[in-house]
Amino acid sequence: MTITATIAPAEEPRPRTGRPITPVTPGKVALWLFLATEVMFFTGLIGSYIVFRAGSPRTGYSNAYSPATPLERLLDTEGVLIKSAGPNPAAVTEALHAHAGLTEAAAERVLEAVPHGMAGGFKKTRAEAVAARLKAAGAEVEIQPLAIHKWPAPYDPLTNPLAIDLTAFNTFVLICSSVTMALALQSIRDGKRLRCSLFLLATVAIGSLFLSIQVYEYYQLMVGHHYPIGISATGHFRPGSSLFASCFFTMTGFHGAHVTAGVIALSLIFIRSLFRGFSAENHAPVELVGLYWHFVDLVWIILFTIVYLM
Amino acid sequence: MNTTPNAAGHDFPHPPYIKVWAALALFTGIEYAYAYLARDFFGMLVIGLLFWAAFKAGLVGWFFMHLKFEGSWVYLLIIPACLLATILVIALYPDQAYKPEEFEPDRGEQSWQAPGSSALPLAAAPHGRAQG
Repeated sequence: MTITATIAPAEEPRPRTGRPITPVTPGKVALWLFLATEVMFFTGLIGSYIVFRAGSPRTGYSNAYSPATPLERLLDTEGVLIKSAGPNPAAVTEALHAHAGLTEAAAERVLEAVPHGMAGGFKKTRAEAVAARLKAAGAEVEIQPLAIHKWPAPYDPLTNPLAIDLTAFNTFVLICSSVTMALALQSIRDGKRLRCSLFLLATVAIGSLFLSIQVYEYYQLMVGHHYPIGISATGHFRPGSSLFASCFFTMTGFHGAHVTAGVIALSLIFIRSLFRGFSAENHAPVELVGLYWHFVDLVWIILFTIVYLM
Repeated sequence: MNTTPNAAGHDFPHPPYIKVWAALALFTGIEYAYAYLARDFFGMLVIGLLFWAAFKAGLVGWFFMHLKFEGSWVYLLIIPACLLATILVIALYPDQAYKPEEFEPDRGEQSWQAPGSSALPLAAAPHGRAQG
């Protein structure tokens, strides 16, 4: 009679939950510590935004006056919205100058913002007279009562210049870059070097597309587009235009700087991957840069919601 | 989910990255549509959008950042940071949000006076209104 004994193979230690866990490495601990500081940094920014927004006066923004104008004596005034300058913009400019009391430069700024050109600050009878003059000059106009807001409302072109459609697409772009980053890590874990390099390259390209769209958005806000008086006194949306503007540029600017740093780091990782710098057993840099990249994506999901959609 | 471990033989399985990406894209579309439809109902807008944002951020953290496969040490790093940051915001909040309202539109212009001043502020001149 033969007695055989079998010895079970050694198993990997598992936590009590039964979940497989990743090995803890010094690099990963260091990166998570860094991400913890980043959590505090971005929470500070977002929290400050919430605090400033909550503390903004009820009359901070309006459709007919520039941001932060004291409106307490102007509540019975109205604005004349110019939807179209018609066939003769010069005549409309002249009518604004002669009958609305605007300087020529101010009248031109109103017309540059058409179809949201707003000439504001008239008593009711005067608003009607100005509207009649502008109609006679060929413009399509509408008299609007003063509308006050605590904070610029999304989808309100008279107080909020942000392009939600474009940024929603940009959010989708950044999400796409996150999945290519995740697939790059998956590839190198499987030992597929070429596939990893291609996904890293795709991540760099998509991340760069995100930045390009953000630069285009900044250009349109600060230079390319002309906005009505309710958004900016100068017609351009720049950090000094309003509290909303400075908050917007601070938050999205710091996030953009993080994306830029991520694209640079990813580019270096990509170049190293071309020289067989990573393998299935040795790919910690890919994992660490990926963690950072996903964090940047996560922050953008929250920023997009709070700054653009609310 | 592909449960095949990597070549190292001791790592975590591959999460369903493509499915997570599709879910994120779908929820971004839903969030976008929700923000438009609920734009005139601020309370509903805030609650709904925070829910969608938290859900999407959770997907990114749980699957893309592999929190699903990390030990509790990660939470020991992240949770105190979140708590401290939240406490900071709560501490700042009263300075701005609870300051006394300087102007009550319903009272009308005659009854209003700037706190600590004896004169009303000058009326603004929108658009650089021509003087005289």
